[in-house]
Amino acid sequence: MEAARSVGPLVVVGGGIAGVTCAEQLAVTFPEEDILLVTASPVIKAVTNFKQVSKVLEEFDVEEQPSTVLENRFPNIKVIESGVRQLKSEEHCIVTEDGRQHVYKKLCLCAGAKPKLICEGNPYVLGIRDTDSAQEFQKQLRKAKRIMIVGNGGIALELVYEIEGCEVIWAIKDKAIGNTFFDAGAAEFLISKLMSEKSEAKIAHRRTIYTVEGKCNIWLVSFMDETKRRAGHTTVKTCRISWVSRLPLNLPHHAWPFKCWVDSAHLCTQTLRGVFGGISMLYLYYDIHVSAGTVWIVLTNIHFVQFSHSIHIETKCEVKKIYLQEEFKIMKKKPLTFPKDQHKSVTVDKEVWPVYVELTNGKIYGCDFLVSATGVTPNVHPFLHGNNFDLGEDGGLKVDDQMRTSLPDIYAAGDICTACWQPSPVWQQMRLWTQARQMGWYAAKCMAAAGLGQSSDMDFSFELFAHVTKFFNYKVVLLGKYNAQGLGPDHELMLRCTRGQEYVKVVMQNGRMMGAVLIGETDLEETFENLILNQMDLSSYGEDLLDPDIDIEDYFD
Amino acid sequence: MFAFLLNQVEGVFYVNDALEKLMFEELRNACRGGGVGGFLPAMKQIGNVAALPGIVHRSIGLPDVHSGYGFAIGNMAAFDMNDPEAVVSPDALVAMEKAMKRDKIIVNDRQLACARIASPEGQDYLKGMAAAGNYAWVNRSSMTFLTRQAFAKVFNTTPDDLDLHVIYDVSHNIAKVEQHVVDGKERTLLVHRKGSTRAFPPHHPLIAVDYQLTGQPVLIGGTMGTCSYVLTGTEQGMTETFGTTCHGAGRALSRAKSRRNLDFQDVLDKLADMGIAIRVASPKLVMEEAPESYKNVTDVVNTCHDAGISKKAIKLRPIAVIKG
Repeated sequence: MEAARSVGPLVVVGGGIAGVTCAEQLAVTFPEEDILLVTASPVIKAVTNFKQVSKVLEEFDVEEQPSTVLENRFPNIKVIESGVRQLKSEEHCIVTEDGRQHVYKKLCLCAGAKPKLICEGNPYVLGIRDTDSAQEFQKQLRKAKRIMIVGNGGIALELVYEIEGCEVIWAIKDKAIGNTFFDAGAAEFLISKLMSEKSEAKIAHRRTIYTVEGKCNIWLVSFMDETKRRAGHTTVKTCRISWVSRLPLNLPHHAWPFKCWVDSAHLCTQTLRGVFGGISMLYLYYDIHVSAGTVWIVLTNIHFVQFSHSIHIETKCEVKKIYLQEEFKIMKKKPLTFPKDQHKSVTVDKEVWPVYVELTNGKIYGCDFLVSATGVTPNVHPFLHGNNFDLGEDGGLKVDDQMRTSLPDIYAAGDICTACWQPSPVWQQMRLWTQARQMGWYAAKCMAAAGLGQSSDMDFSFELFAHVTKFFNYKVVLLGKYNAQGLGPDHELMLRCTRGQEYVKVVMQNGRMMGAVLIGETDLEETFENLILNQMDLSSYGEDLLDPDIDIEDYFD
Repeated sequence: MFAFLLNQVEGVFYVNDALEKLMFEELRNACRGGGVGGFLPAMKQIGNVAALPGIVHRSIGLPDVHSGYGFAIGNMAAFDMNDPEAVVSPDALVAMEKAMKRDKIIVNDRQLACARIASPEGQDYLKGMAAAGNYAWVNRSSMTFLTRQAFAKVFNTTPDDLDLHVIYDVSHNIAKVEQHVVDGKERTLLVHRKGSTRAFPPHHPLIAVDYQLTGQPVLIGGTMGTCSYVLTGTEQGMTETFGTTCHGAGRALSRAKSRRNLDFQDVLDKLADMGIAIRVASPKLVMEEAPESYKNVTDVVNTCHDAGISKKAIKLRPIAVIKG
């Protein structure tokens, strides 16, 4: 029976990080075989600028690329742009939305997960999962004056910090922010950064928003033909300039003021003296698809005012109900204004909003839209009908230490799967891009080994949980059981903290390091990685381990 | 249970006046703090090493010696391979602890876990270390190759035309089996060099032909902003330190890092809710008065030169620093 099945290509479903990594690895291992990548979206995700920071810590960027890029690099990969309608596991074939059937020798499901929307079908409730939805979000954000963010995970954290020039109401069901990533202490450390009235002068922002006040001249300068055309002259009371890169904006025939983020710091520092005689200017690079080539829009005579954040956090609450504008008028309930300061002086909001949100703590706020960042749910639905998969508690496909699902010749990797092997004591699954990449790679390795009748040794990346990211412009490194997950009360914490600079938290059990949270440039990640991996007995050092006077990196070198 | 062993040999360290002050300061601070376990001052570590079974001649601290795990960084110790008592000491590994119990090895410092060289654990360790040494060597060769390629690309020529070749490749942390003359007799020794560099003199058979007349080059990197040096090995070094010299500026207690305002009461309050024991790191108050305790590479190199264990040859000024 098995012999008859070993025909057909190796098929990977999903064009995200896990799927693409798996397909690439398969293509490299089996240069003679056909690899089929089935994806519902016209673009695929690619890992770029990969950097191995230390033994297990990795950094990389994720870019979207058209599928042709992948096909060009690996001639044995063919990309099918269509969703999966059905999986017939007995017959070893999948049926795609376009009606075609594809037989597979082995199948790897990497269809990812989708955001849990607190309310399906409401046009004012957005979920952000990938760049598609991120772009949609940015489009909406440009016009918004106030939004609400519900949820406490990585996405919510990033959003809250990135959004400027717009009021944000952040509703979390926990006591403190960043629950999945941080403990209350780290949350407190980060919050002070978020709530500070003035942003520090030297933050290296990727994007900065400036307010332009007063009158401002607008010039169009094209370097191609050396002409300067005066485009307009506008009296601007408060023009918020925010710009989303790569979205071509139609030229200024419609509504001034327009919003654009200045995309990189160096653009601003090209406030050249000389050309316009020392007047401060802002060059905004526009990619306009006209024959003139690239055109710069120059605003002169502007006065920069940097925005700080306007964030209000509502803790220990969830969304009770969402009303559209019309419904709400009838309700005659009282919405609150945005709390401007820490005092409780809230008043009834006179402004009219497209949507109103009632929280479980009784408060009601109006806003332009709501972002649901409450977690994700694995995309298993298209594959379940007629197939008896073992599912994990979180709804994902259960996989063993060879990334196999409960059905023969079907593997799974990334957000869609639930890891069910006996994990290393310092590793846990989290639905992050880094793990998606590691799993995709490892699944391909296992599929290859299985083809030869062998099994694979667990990849080193599953020995120790490690994730490096940025929150609130701080570098954040999470190692091992960074929140003492599963350790019970039998552990202790060691802490070193300097407000605004660094936060170091170490989880110790029986004198051994089990996890760490490092916020800021601590330079401790490599040393701690080693200490967690080799489980050295550190009890004799006590809290001296974190003594900032002792160069611990050098000591354990 | 600790039995305090009397030293088998002397513990010696090389300093000039400035460095001497730093060494004693470190010791004083440790004693004040009641320092048992944890971070031992380098002087104490040198002493503990001097008590290891099978050690020959002296436990030596080079001028840049400072506290490290197990051996101090900048500590050299040689063990007689033919002495059945002699040990190899890599640091605390579970296998070592077993071996120590079985072979009844007692040490003053738990971190100095070791095994008899001839025992299975000792032999395994030597093999493992050789594998690690090879890995490191291949790693460095790869980096060299890539560096040459990078320069070639930027200058649009070949690495050979740019005269980019490896001057010397040496490791700072390894134990090597070497022949040395001790008390007039030639002996086979296992020389542990932690944070110190081998520096053989001119005419030594083990160094490359190119350097037979000058002696082995020793590359001493400074730190960001300070000078670096190239030294050569000397005959005196062979007898005094078994051909060992320093490896760079020693970091003692680096005060630069402690310029912080440790202020975290809010954070602590939030964490206290969880009911878990929390310990907080704070620099000991004594440190506030301590002077800049950073061992300057120039001091270190000059001390080696004055002591005759290596000779200064070239001083290099940094043009660019790349941190990776």
